Formats: sequence, C-alpha cells, structure tokens
Amino acid sequence: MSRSDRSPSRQPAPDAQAHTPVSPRWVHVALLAIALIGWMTFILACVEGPAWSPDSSRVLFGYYDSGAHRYKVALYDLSKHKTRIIFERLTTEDDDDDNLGLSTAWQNDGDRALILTTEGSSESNKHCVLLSLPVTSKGIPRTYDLANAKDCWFRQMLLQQGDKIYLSGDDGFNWVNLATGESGSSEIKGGPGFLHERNGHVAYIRAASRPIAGAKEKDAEEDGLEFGQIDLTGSALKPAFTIWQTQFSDIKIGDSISTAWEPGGPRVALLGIGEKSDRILIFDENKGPIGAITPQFGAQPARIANIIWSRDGQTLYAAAITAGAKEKTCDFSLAEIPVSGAPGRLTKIASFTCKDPSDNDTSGKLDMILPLALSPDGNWIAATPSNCGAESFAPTDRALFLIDLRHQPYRITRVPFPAAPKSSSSPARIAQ
Amino acid sequence: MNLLRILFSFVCGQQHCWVLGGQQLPLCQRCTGLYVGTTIALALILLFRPRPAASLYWLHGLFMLFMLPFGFHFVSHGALMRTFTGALFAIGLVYYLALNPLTVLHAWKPATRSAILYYLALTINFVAILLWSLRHGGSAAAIVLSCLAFIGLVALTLLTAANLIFLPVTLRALRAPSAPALR
Repeated sequence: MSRSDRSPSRQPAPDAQAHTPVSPRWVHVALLAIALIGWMTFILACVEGPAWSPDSSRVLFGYYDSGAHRYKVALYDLSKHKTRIIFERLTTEDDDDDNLGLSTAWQNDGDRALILTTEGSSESNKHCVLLSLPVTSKGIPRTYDLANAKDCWFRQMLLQQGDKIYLSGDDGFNWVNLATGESGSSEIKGGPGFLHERNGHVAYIRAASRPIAGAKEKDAEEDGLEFGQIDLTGSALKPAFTIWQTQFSDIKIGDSISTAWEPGGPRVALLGIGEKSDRILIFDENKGPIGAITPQFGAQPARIANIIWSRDGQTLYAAAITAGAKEKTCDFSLAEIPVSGAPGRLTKIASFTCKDPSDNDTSGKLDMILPLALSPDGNWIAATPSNCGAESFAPTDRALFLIDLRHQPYRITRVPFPAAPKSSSSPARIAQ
Repeated sequence: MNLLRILFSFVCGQQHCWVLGGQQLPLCQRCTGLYVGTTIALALILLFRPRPAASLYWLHGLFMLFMLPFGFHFVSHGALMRTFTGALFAIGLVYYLALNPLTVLHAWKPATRSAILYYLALTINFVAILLWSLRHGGSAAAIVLSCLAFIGLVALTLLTAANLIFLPVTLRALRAPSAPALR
C-alpha cells in the first residue's frame, strides 16, 4: 500500500473532517459482532439439517396429481374438516408411474411431518432426502440427506427412537439423527428383506432356502421365509422362526405381497398368493404357524393386499378389488377379515377402470396404489388410491377416504384431493 | 473436487447443490452465493476501499438483512434466489468484517460518489455474471466457481483472523480517553 494511500486517513483535510460524519470505533466493533453472528447463523442454518398423527386428529397423505405432473402431500384435520397441501414436487422421467415417489410419517412430537422423497432430476444429482416440515409450529423446514441412498424407491420410515429415525434400505437400513443431521447406513449380510416397525423394534422377513432332504436332484432346494428382529445398534439379526414351502403346498409363500405384525402382540399375518384364492397365514413368533384363513366374501372373488391388524387383534383389514358393476371397471373396497375364520365383509370405497381384478397387472399393483393406515386410537382407517391418475379413478373417487370403524355399517368420509393453492408459495417444494 | 466437498461439509449442509455440466458443486446453492460472493466482494472492497460512512453501513446491513426472510423460509423462493441472497449477504458480511482491519491499517480511500457508484455497479455486474454462469455454465464453470468459493472461504477465515489480531488495537483505541474519530 503506497504512502499516498494512507495519508488521507491519517491526516484528513480540515474541510473533510468537518463535513464527514463521525464513525466511532464501537460502531465497527458492533458491526463486526453482527457480521460474525450472521455468518455463524448462516453456517448453522445450512448444516442443520397417509400417516396418522400420534393423537389420531390429523392425517398426512401423499398422492399423484397427474394433471399437474406432481407428487403432493396434503394434511387433513379431522376436527376442522380442512385439507391443505404441505409439499409438492414435480415428477421426472425417472419416476415410476406405479409407485408414489414419496412416503410420509409423523415425527414423534406430532408437530412435524416427515416426507421421504427423491431430490434431483438426473442420474448424477439424484439422491434420497428426508424432509421435516413444521405443520403446527412455526419452525423451519429441514432437509436431511440419506447416506448411500441414490433414490427412495421402496424405502419406508420404520420407527423413531429419540432423535434417530430408522428407514428401510437396499442392503440393510438407514438412520438419520433429526437433531444433528447425521445419517448413516448399516448393511445386513444376505439382505434385509421386508422391514416393519414392531413394538418399538424393527422386524424383518426375508427369503431363506435349504436343501431338500432325499430329493432326486442333488442341488434341489426349497424356499422359505425367515422372521426375526434386527439389533439396530449392531445390525445383527435375531431370527425367531422360519417357514418352508413344503409346509404350505397350496400357496407360493415366496410371492407374498403383504405382511403385518400384530400391534403389541406376538402374531404376524402373511398374505400368500394362492392358485385358486389368496390365503392369510398366521404365525406366532414363539410357536410358529398357528392358523390359516381363506378370506371369504360371499360369491364375489376378490384380490386383497395391504393387510393390517385391528387394535384388538380380532380382525384383519385389507384393501380389496372386485369386479365392478360395469364392464372394465373394478371396485376398491375395505375387506374386513375375522381372524377366527368367520366370513368376511367388503365395504365399497370407490370404482376405477381396470381390465379384470384377477389380472396380474392389476393385482400386482394393489399394495402400491391402495395403501391403508389404521389410526393410533384404532377408530379410523385411512385409505387412498394415492398413485392413480385421473385416467383410472373418476375425479370424485380420487380422494382420501376415512372409514369410521366405530359405526356399523362403517361410515365413509370422502376428503377430495385439495385443489392447488392460489398462492404458489404455500407448499414446500423441492427444486428439480 | 472431493477435497473441496469434504472441506465444505464442515460449513455447509451440501443439499440443494448446483449441477453444472454434470459436475455437482461441493456446496449448496445459498453457500455458493455466500462464498463466491465473498471473493467478489473482497476483491471490490480491496480495489475501491470506500471510506466508511453511514450510508454504506446501512446499505451493507440491508444486504445482510435481505437474507432473513429467505434464509428462514418465510418467503418461497427458488435456486437462483438462494444464490442471489447468499451473494448479497456476502457483500454485507465482507464489508463489515473489513471495517476494523482496514481502519487499523489506515487503508481507506475517499468515498467519492463516483467511486461508490463504480463499486456498486461492479458488484451488481459480478453477481449477475455469477447467476448467469450458474444457469448456463458447464463443467468448467463448476470448477471455476468451486475454486472461487474455496478462495471465499479462506478469505472469510483470514478476515476473521485479522479482526481477532487487530481487536486489541481496536479495544485500546476504544478505552483511550480521546478516541480518534474515524472516517
């Protein structure tokens, strides 16, 4: 720095001194403090990071708005009868038409919605993120990157323990610390199979095989399913029992499309695809197989999926499709299946266009497009054809359906998918 | 780029990153504005060294305040706005951090109206070039911007260090019974 540069500051001209506003050093110190606090806040803010609310008063549900080419998540408040969109993202060419590109859950405090969705539009920048959006408080949205997760397909939020949330992954499970933003993944040797939350733990069901004793072919093996629990601290498996194909000759257990653990109980229900009809196998984790149910709904053949237990453990509910009254239509119903084996009952929810209910293409998608969720108090079931576009369901049938289980016959409340807000600033968005 | 990714992971969540020509920047969109903006702002401040005045305090404070509604998501905004608000924040931040060191070094130049106008015009131009390159740039732009962001991070660290080094001088001047008026 040249001397001539310095001199004006050291020896200001009397005129300039008289007319320039005085700037005491404490202003600079104060501004320095503001700047440092601002920068630190900036860094800290940057590094932070259909589901029933814990009190059964609100439902989060995701759906595909085919007209707008967006996946959306809406929140319905049962007491106020109001719905609002809290999140949306544009679909991309990579998104699968048959699978909703996001899943939802509530944070344990009931104040925040958790949304698992894929961010980015190209292979190079695509990755799975967990969003935490405030829905009752005035907090700020948070985004958590999932470790080693290229996309979110078939990932589900399993359970939250303290600040940690566990999610199913490709080769094991992922976890995210909602307080610190840390994330990680644990690999499970041989694959995790299907993971479920079960009484505050993570249960798994995965494929198994063993040689067939006395078989003609030397390498002949039979398929089976291993049930157990995962130790989340060390990712070790604690097998409970294994079932084998030879035990259940009438169904192909490897093709099971739905399983459900009894809330608070030792039983697990497994829906098996049979040649003539579907069967639900009931197992006790301590005793092994304890029963089998062939769902009967009168003369009407039905395909079912997404089984869930009632709170008292006496009934299984499932999404069902049957042939509709008109040609090339199907009915989407709630199936009520008594565990005792008594005849079940169907409660029609909506109609949609389909070739044939027994058609593999239709039944294969059942578990993906017609999810059910039981409210924590056991009084309601939320059902929605979430992934179907306007081409399958009539506009009036594209909705969230709330089935009140306290009344016979069941009362169904239809909550239409909300219209897009006039102000585009309302829902949270992911930039693609 | 991997080294930069590790380095920036200490100060940035690295989510919502720009991808230019298939090359993902090692920092988020807002931090891109902050750290590249820091390099721009520091270069311009060292070039013009506009003597502190009330109008400049307010102007740079306003740049920083602009971050509040966007940073806390009170206003919905997109990727370019994230970077823009980050860059504005950087201009205010660098100016405030430069106040004490440049005062102690007696390095200010007279803040003439034309000098301030040049300073502001160049600032706006460089921020516009930054936003344009993010929109239309390729992998080369990604490398250049990553390097500028790295320089910005180092510059902010050095400016903070300089403030700590000069703090005793500043405090001594504050305690002095006849603290000299600054301009």
